[in-house]
Amino acid sequence: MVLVIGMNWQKVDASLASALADVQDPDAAEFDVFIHTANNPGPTESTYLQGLGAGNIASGRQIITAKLSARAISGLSDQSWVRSLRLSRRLKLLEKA
Amino acid sequence: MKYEKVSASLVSVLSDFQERGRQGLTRHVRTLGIIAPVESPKPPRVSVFLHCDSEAKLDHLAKYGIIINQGRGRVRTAFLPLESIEALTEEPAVSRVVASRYLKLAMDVAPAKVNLPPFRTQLGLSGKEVIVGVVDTGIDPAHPAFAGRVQRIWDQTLSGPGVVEGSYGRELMGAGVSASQDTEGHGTHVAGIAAGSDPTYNGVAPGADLVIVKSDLANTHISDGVRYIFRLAREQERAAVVNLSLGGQYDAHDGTDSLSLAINPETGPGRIVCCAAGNEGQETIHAQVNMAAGTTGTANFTLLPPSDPISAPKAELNGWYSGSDQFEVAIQSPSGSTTPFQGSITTGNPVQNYTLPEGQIRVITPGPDPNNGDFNFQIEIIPNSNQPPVDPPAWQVLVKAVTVTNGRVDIWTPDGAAFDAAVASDNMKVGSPGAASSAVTVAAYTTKNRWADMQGNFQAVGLTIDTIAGFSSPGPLRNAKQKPDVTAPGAMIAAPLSSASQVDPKWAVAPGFRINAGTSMATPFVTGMVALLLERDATLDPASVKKLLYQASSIPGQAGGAFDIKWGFGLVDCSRL
Repeated sequence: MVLVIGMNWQKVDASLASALADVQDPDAAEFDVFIHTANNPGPTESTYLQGLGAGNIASGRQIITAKLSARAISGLSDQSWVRSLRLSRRLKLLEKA
Repeated sequence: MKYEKVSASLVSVLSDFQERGRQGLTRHVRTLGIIAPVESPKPPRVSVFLHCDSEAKLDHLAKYGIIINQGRGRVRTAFLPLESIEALTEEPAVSRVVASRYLKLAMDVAPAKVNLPPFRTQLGLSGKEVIVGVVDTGIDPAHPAFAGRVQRIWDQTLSGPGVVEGSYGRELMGAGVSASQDTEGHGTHVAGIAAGSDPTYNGVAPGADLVIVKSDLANTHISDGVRYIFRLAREQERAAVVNLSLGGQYDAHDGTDSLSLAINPETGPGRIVCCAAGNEGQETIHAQVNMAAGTTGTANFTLLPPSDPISAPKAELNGWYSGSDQFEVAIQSPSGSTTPFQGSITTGNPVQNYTLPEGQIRVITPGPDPNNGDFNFQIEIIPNSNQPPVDPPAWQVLVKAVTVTNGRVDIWTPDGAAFDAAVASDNMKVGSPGAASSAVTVAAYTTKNRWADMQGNFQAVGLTIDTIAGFSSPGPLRNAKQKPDVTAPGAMIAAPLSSASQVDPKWAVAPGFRINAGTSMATPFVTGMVALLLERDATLDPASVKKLLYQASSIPGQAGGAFDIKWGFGLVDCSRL
């Protein structure tokens, strides 16, 4: 486990907190996450998100998806305009046969 | 003659023919695909399924009068003189020869059960000009049921530059769609129910165009897929309905999870999403514990083996309670060892690890959830492989009520565990994305429980016909909002089979078609209905679509407008749409 300094844990959901507890390389982009913003991202926020590789930001959505490293998540959690960060979970197909 | 390759019914035909000539075939003509007119000079002929190597070249069998209808594939159809069956069985690439059976035309009875055919015919609707989007395991783009209508595929599993919504995967169109395969087969079946075109197994909206997202099922990528489909529809100024036959139990069960919240603003006039309610109706995945201040509640559960043999055993519990309560949680192992009680950790890392004799325990108790103000706890259990045997092997969640306003905690087992029946609550099993407020969430109804497979064997499942399927997940949501919305046929449904997928022969009902069950199957039934409604009025939004569906639905034996946690507002009757 590698400690990621500066994480605002209040913005991180339980699943992401658990995944971050097992991180080996804080710079490896291994976490698919939902980023919830407090308002529609403006130019500054959009530039920040695009710098992290998040796509489809210009449409003014407050929920953005991205694949991030633990260090990038830590940096995002420290931004006042970021409301919460949630780990992507794999869903199941709903067939019975 | 290699009799071991010939089905029992065909052996019987051959035996009767050898003993009594054409007269011996009389009793078979009504049930099997045999043509044997008494006055004709032509030899008696038979229609068969033949099982063979998928790439086998069988053209040389034409010299025996054998007409094989497909050039490739593991299961093909053929028409041949009875006397040529021997030549067919001697062919090394052929492993089985099965007589074709006459089935009732109502092989797939689901459409008629909800009065779909007259609705479609009388109004001249087929889903034309509407986009049906399917985020799933992909599609068999070469299946004749979709000929010329697979507009685009975003295959998220292929390497490539991605699309606007995500810089991963590859977008395919035109002839290029053949680069994507559906090896699972689920997406092909789902797309076929919604929009397949076939004389026997017609989908609900056979004139709609298809936009397919082949996903790895990560909910971020599903969200990206929904946005992709609606963007394409906007660019073409067409209405669209997206089908999501998938789900999970990792969320808050109140529609405030990320995927549900991402779906809501994407919907609107001409933008509808249909979601499956879930298949956990008979599974003990939910427990509800009610407590007064100062008391401790418990919920017993057992660990389940991994769903696939290569995964290490791991269980996960997902608990939620009101933001106005203060609870602490602990885990007790079968031997009676207990972790310390752990309350919400509002400063610092909320993850704590513990070691018990039977395994490693991780308890995560963050502060209030920013989206709903409630508290969530997640508990992960990795059992030791050398657990001492304890009978019964019961684990317990312990919940201590410190201060209480509401006093209730709801816990789900999304993975690797099941609650004891005595503590399980048979409600609130509709998770994300079925919990999305804008989604049309669909429960499953049984229209068929017996069928003949392609080998002529009768198959059956333990579902009661003409009622809600036992497996269909009940609502309501944790915040008491009504889900599911409506019920549609979801068992057993015949629809296209992906040629790239493997299927147990008992599920195959005809070349290129299989039968399946689940709210996965009920959902595209409604997706197709919505496509028909959007063809009629492309401005319908989720509220107006739901209003139409509710008005057309009822629970058998009850007046229209009644809601039930299993049925929602009941089975949709297209004659009332």
